[in-house]
Amino acid sequence: MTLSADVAIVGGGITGLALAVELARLGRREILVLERRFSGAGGSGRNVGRIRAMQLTEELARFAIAAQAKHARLADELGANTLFWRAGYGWVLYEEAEMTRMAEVRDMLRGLGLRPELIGRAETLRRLPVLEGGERPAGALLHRDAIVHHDAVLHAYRAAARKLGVRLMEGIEALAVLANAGKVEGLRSGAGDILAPVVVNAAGGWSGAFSAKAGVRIPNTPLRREALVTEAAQPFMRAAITFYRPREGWFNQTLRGELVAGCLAPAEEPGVNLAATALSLGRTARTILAKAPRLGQLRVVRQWAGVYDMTPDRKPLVGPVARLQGFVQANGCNGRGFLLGPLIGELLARWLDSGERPPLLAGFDADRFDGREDAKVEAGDYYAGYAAGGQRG
Amino acid sequence: MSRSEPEEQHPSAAAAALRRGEPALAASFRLHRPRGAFCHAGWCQQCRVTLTDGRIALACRTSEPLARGRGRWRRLLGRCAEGLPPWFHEHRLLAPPSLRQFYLERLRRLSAAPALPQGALPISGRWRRRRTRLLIVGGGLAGLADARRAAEDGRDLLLLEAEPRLGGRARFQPGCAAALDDAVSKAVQLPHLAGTLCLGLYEQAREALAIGPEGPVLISFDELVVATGAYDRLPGFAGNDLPGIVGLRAFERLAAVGAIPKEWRVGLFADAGSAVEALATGQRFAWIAGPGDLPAADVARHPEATLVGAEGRGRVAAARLDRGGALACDLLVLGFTQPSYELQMQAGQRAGLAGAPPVVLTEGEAVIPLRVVGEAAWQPAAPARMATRPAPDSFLCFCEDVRRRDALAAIADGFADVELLKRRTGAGTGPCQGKLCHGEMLACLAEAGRPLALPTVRPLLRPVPLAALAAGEPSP
Repeated sequence: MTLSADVAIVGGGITGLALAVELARLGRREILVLERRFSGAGGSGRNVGRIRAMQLTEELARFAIAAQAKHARLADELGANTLFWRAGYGWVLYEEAEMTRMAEVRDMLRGLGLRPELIGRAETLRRLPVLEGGERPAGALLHRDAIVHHDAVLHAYRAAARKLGVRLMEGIEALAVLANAGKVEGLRSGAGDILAPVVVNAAGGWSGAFSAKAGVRIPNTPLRREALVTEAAQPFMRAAITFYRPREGWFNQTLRGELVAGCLAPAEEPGVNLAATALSLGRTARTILAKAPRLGQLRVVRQWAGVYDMTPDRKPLVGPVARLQGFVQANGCNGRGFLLGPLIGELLARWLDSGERPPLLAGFDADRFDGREDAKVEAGDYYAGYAAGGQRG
Repeated sequence: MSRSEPEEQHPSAAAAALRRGEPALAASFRLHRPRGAFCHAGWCQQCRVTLTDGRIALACRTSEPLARGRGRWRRLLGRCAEGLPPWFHEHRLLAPPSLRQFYLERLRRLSAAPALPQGALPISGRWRRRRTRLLIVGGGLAGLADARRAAEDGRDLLLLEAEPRLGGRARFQPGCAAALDDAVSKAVQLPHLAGTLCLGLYEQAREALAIGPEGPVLISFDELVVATGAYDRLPGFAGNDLPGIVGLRAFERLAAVGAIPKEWRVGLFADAGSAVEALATGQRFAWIAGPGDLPAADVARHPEATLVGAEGRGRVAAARLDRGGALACDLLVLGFTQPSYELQMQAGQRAGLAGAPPVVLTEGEAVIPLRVVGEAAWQPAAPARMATRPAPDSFLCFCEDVRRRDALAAIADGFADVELLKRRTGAGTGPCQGKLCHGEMLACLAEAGRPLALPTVRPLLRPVPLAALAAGEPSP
């Protein structure tokens, strides 16, 4: 069987679906999305929907602010409620040195138009009472950030894709990229060959491996991150909390009332591994309860692992590849894919349609690692990699 | 040694409530429907209650006093939401968007979830590690027999039993008393951990995590024996979530502790085999009914019947059969068995369906040496063993208030894969983690001609407080 498409997108996660829908909204037809299992089987279905504008570097923060604004208007664009909820976000700090560093991050974010607040110990406990009885915080950086429900977003995209005539093929794997004379001709898939002049790599954690199939090596490295979820309780906290000391951890209460939580595994080996570990249960419980002991009463119902698509400079790869005409990257979101996917989809669709790169994508050149394909991804403490003022140290 | 000693001294709060004639214990998550304990064994998670000191517990697993239920306005609220599918929020696009924020802020306060208790639970001890050649999960008669054989062969073994005492279901079956005494007396000197629940398999199923009185323990092993028995499941029929409907195993437990009020009319709907087991408890029934033939008994019998629905306001009052009309009852016992399949799935086996209504069975190769013994290996006899008529508004997932019609609508809408169906409806994501609903989900997919598969069976097999997992790091 041979199919043909104008654009073939590999990966039925949020980036792939967003790109497909945006292309169709621009009037493009014959858009095909190929998904190995089902849409949301990878990172898009394994995240907790925290979409944070408050990023550590100016370049990322600028893009994240636009990406969050995209999420805010997504419901109206797609005609379905995505449960976009301004729950708020708190970076809780436990060392005085962090307060100094965060003052500079706050100033940088203010320069971009956000209104984050850096507050002291007493105010932190007043505003985030879930921390009572835990380790004494030094302060917190708070911002009115948002949380979405990942399934609500994916289902809204699915419905829009169907309405716009996008072809979503689930349970079908992209096996190889067909190319001739430096030009993409299509894909070899589990359902036969698909002829397409443009192939987009939106495979999330599998992007590095898929790009290699096209003969385009990129340094993207999959990294497992684990999470757990408890049974629901009545509202006990609102703002999502993240902290980095002594070890990175995060937790928040979902709209439904469950606690979701996770923490960094310091010795995590790179690679696609979606198996949850027993030790992460203990590590997460210890890390979270040291900060918010009252949460120990909640019963854990499930744990799972997701995958980050990491790049050496923590920035995505978006756009056509010079070495292979018709091959396009839309990946490398470093654990922020659910935030960035919709905006990447919109901007890349405009780029593919008009041939002109939108200025916001300037820093995310898909060819910037040419010649440095073996650049290493630091898997550990990424917060420590940033010097004061949001510059990479 | 009386087989039901601890229960007689400390009946569970659920059994005590039943004795008082109050089967309704909790409210369902989304629709605030009254719910009672169904399995009385910690599986179904429908009797989640708040204790007087604010802690959250299962009424079937505690004997402490329960706090009073919450106001009636929530019931009314739930009634207003009855017609809404689980994805009801999707087409509520309030304008301006600030109204949506307001809506979500209100919405998140409307579930029946309990309040987070004040204060912290104590954290103590360390995670431990153990190593054994043969790990036997389940200390019922099948697990004990396997352990004895292995010990006679000189094998290195460890047996886990989730309940504080060995014996499993046999502890509540009068006919098994002799076999139980024999098995337990011979097993006490074998290496075993009682009160220790296996939470799941990890590391390509080479390691099990269990939690017991001394905290979490990681057990590495070479061979696994699954002797986890079976549990009661609720098939689909109208009114299947009414309090006062209990499973056969739950009934055995309740009968053993004398929790069933003498004046109650007890109805039984079961196949012949299960009916024999139910009658063996010595309890009196008002009537017995079932899909096929029924054992001879000195009660009204309704063989060759289909269970059409359960009726009642707030608790079961009658069962309606296709023939014979409505039969009054205060307690409706259902003999519908689901062999436990969770560990087998985690060990790499595949899911299949058998029987009507279908139960989940496992098949195919495991990734580790695996044996399944006892009721966990039970297969339903063909053909109809529990004829019920699935109604569109019967509940499929009790934790998340998902009805059969919701699942069918989602499948028709393209969520025609078990993973998509789970994400669309929420079925299988609540505290019971699919134990009550996986079979019904698969049945709905099978009806639509979709291939059979279960969603990934993730740990934990039963909910555990975060504090219990926060014990110190294990030594490497």
